[in-house]
Amino acid sequence: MAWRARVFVTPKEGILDPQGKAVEHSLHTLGYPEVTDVRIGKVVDLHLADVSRDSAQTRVREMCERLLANGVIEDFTFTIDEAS
Amino acid sequence: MKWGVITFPGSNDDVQAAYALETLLGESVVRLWHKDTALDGLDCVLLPGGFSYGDYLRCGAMARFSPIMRAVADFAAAGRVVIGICNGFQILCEAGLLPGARIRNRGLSFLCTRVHLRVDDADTLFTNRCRRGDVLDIPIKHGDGCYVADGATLRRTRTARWRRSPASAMRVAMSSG
Repeated sequence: MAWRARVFVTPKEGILDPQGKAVEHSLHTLGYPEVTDVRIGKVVDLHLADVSRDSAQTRVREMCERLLANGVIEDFTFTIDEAS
Repeated sequence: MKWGVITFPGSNDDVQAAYALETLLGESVVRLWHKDTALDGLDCVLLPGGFSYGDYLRCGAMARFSPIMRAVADFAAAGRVVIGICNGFQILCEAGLLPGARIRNRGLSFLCTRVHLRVDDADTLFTNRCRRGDVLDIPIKHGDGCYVADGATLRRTRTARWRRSPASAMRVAMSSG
């Protein structure tokens, strides 16, 4: 089976996100005072072939822990969908 | 002393580091490529600054998987001295050889300037030729220089015992770019 995994990597709660702060400031300047917090992360799309869904789930988690996210400063979540 | 200076793809302060050691300090230097696997006969290993692997994903994230890093981990585990400057420091953090991580500078700007560091402890590997209270004028240049770690880690790295261990490379390295 082929799958598409989409990994979201975001700064951990409490970790300073200077990019987010700069964007928040710009949004306020543009007239969006209702924005109270901005956090900027990354999206990583992975295409996987010839693995079961369970195996894809386990291995993508491992990829996140070993390389895609740094657990000291980042959290991650991911979704796995059947590739079209 | 015999030093090893490692070049990763994208390192750009390796030549300067070797020059400083060899020409200015008269030390013996072996240049190493990230695919080398042995650090035999060295007293100290230096990971220089730069932009290994283009800083892709996170600074130092890819370089930590270079073949030489296994030897660097063994070298450090044997209690020998490993110094990371700038990107080299980031690689050591990513490899788990130093605690914490570095994120984007608070002001988002790349900083290329000089800072003053006060010597609080003159009994460490890096400061044993200084006197307590001396102020050092240190050049820095980095985009991701903001050091972060959890509270317990920060408390641990502030103890004199930790400062005097080889892992204290951190305090100098994090400040020097």
